Amino acid sequence: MSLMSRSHWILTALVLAILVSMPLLLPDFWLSGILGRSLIYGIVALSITFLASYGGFISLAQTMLAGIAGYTVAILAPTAIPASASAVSYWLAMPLAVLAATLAGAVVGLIAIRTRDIYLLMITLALAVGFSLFAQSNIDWFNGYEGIRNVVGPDLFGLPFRTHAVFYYVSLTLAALLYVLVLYVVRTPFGLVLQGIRDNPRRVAALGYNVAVHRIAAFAMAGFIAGCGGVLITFYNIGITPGSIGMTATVNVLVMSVIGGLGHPVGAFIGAVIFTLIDTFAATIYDRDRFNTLIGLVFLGIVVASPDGVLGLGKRLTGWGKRKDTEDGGTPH
Amino acid sequence: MLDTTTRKGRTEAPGPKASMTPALVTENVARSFGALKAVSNVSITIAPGERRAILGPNGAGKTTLFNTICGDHPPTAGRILLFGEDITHLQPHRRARLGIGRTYQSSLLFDGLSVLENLYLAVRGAMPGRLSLWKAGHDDPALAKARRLAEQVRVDTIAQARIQSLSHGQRRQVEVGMALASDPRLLMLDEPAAGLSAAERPELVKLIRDLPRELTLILIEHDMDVALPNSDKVTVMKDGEVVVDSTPDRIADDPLVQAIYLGGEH
Amino acid sequence: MLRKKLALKTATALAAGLFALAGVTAATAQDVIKLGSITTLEGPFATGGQDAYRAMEMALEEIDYTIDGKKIEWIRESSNAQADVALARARKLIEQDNVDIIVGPLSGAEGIALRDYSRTLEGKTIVNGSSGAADTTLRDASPNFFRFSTEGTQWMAGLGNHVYKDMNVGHVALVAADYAFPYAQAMGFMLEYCEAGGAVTKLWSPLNTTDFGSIIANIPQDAGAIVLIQGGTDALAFLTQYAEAGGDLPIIGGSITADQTLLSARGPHQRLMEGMLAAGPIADLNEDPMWVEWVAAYRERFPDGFDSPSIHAFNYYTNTKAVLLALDEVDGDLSDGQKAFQAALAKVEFKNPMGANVRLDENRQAISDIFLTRIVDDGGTLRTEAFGKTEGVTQTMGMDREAFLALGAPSRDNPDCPPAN
Repeated sequence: MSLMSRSHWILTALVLAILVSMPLLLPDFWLSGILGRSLIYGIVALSITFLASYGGFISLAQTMLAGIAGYTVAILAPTAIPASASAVSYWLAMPLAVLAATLAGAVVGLIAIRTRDIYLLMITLALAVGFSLFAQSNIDWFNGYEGIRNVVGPDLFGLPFRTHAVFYYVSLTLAALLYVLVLYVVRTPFGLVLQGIRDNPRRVAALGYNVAVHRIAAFAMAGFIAGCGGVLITFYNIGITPGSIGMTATVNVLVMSVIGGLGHPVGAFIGAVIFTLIDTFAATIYDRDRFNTLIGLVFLGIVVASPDGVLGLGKRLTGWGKRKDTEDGGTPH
Repeated sequence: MLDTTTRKGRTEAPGPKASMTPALVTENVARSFGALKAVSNVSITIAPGERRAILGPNGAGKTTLFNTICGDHPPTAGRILLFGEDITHLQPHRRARLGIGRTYQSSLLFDGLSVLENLYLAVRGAMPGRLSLWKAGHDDPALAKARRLAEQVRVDTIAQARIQSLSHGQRRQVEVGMALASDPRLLMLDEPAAGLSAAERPELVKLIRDLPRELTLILIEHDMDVALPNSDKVTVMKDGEVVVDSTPDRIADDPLVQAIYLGGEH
Repeated sequence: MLRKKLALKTATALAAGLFALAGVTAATAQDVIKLGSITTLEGPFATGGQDAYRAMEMALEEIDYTIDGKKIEWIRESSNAQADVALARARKLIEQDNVDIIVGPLSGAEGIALRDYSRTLEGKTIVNGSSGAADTTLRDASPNFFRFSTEGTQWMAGLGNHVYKDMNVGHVALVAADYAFPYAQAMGFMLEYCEAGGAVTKLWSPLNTTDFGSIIANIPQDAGAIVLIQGGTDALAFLTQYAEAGGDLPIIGGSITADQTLLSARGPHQRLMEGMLAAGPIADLNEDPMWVEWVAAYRERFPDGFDSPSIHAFNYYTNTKAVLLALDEVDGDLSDGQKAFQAALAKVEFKNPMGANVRLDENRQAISDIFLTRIVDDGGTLRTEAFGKTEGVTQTMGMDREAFLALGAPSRDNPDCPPAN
């Protein structure tokens, strides 16, 4: 019941070493505009993948939870425009924001407690759309359509947060920690019960576990992950607007999870990198007026070729899954 | 009917009180689903440490009787006593904690988890502090117990394999292991040999035979070769009612049983 | 682990390919000026965004993409009217494509996002496209953000006085959508109207309202006109229901009310449309020869374009024009962190296609003319026609900057001049 096999650890360390040395190799835009952006949206996608891979829940509320953290940190931010009466230090605002997302995640879990499959999808979608519309129409807290701007983040080591290397390393560190956290948690009794719920919820209950409490805890943890991503996304976007949490944003993060593959947490980040690359460069490669068509076709191609995303594709191409499946890795649903 | 005296010498009773009282008593138990009477007027008494086989054609109400006992479908009439305690109206998990363990006809394991993880979950489910965010250490007693169970049901060599890669027979073994995880006083096995190949059966028979003798066992089984060598007494059901109560050596000659089994039921 | 390796390989290959691609565009020569642009070619404003690029193309073709022998390379990006997306595109243009100047974006929240981004830049300039949120330049202005188009509050200049003094209406019902842009427009109208002595009953409705029944029922008996500040589809719903309810008060529109949705739709609302008043930076029909000539050029260059250039085309053209004039002034010299260029840009003074003079205030916000318009039946087609103008409208509506800022940000409750009873 170890987290990863030895070869996994070696590979992970290798990938991490490459990522850590990226600032030496890549120009600034690639650092923050591609890799950094992939990491922070990948964190939100990770919260989807965590719920889907280990709990069997597809939640569309994760971008909303990221938004709750984003709005919380924006409302409390000392630099925010419009300035808030409740401004505090960033070092207090950030944990409060993540806490808010965690609690909101638990509430989502509570609301969706008895739903599965398409009904869970619908109820989380309704929550996401509802919150986005609320943020758009609420002026007092959320400043409506224009949102809250100039949320620049704290200074780190005397450097502004938006400094490319600072932003990149913070995102990388947090993404790596959350990734390991997911791998750890799914090996704990809590994580095992969660996977039991995925495979057979009635049997889990028969064994004496409280399924409802485990579901709520899983959504709270997913809220925690999404909240961490939401804070970084808000700093990256120098603020937050209802558009940051609207339908398009929600679908984008879902697309990242799906094209990466819902079978393993690493899929979230692979999907995020692919999405970011295509989103950034499609207009350069293809007709500017119709590049969305290209984006759509690429995603459609990936999903048709491999319903379990790029991960599944790799698995099938190498035949690696078959041999390894008995030991660990993800379970397709 | 009771055969407690012959057992007493060999049995280490679970408790002083239990040795005096029957392990399980059903008094006129009935269960209907709407107009359908799946089980009616079933009264059986099973002594501590006894091994009881329940035979009968499909639709005889055997599994429904199990469900009334474990609480998945509580009886609509009658009483159920477990070691003298009335459990007729208890929730399934309360009954499990009082010492009932069971397997299901169709496999209800966690396909995405390993054998050891399945057993570990079953062990922890019967322990306090079930929601934990700390990974099991090597000295975790629940993990140690899961390993012992794996040995007991002979799946210790494939403990790390995921359930979905297991053969049918291996899954059955894990099922028995999970039912044993809560240290039940009464273990109910629902057709453990169903669907097993001829090569897999002896392994399962041996496994059942090697279960601790103090464990009270009820076994639903079609296969006489599995059922008879493993039972002290045999109950035959048909159309929701008990039709014969007998011993294994006499059951094969019973005309009614012959009628049921030779009449094409299998 | 292989699958991870494989994914990594794929990503590396993809990255390498894109690098090569990026390398081509990143080859900056000294004699090339890189002009980036952002508009919305996706989402609800896509047609407006397309029209904006038509106008930019016109402006660049007029000088043959050349300033003093230096070639202008134009790199276009598309957003979907959302701040995050506009920001991602701007980052790509500045940090990856290495553009010198960005023209854009189209919508209000995007504008504020780019304003904030421009503040973090050195030696780069962002010039507005068509976004019209007041705060972009009014509060917390950025030294690197310039706007040669006017904004929502300015667009209402002259309307309040006209309604009170020329139409002799002393009490209006304000039917407006409940978000920032209508607040700014309502402020522009009410500053004049309340000052002149008028009273306003406010009736707010959420964005995308379809049933205006309760709003119509709440229009006061003694109101002499309705000021309707709603986007096209909402305005259409209100006017249809108001016409069906037998309403006959004169309609005063906001700057986004009389858009193509409303002008081209058929139905009972048309009875109320003819003669509808509004104010704004453009009108379809304007006698100024510059406008006549520009519209003709537009129609000739883009036979597939709109019948008359949209407000987005007009704004993108005006802003692009300012960039080109300033570039010409400094002979395309963008050295020294664009200091000379930005200084020239701040001092540019020219006439926009409506024939209106444009110059900047100290926050780099346009001071220009605003037109009173009314809807006329022009040979079977409803069009807007200019019939008066207010010259040199400032962002502070002619007030002292301190005094204007002291009024506070426009909101549901600010400003306020309810009827006495």
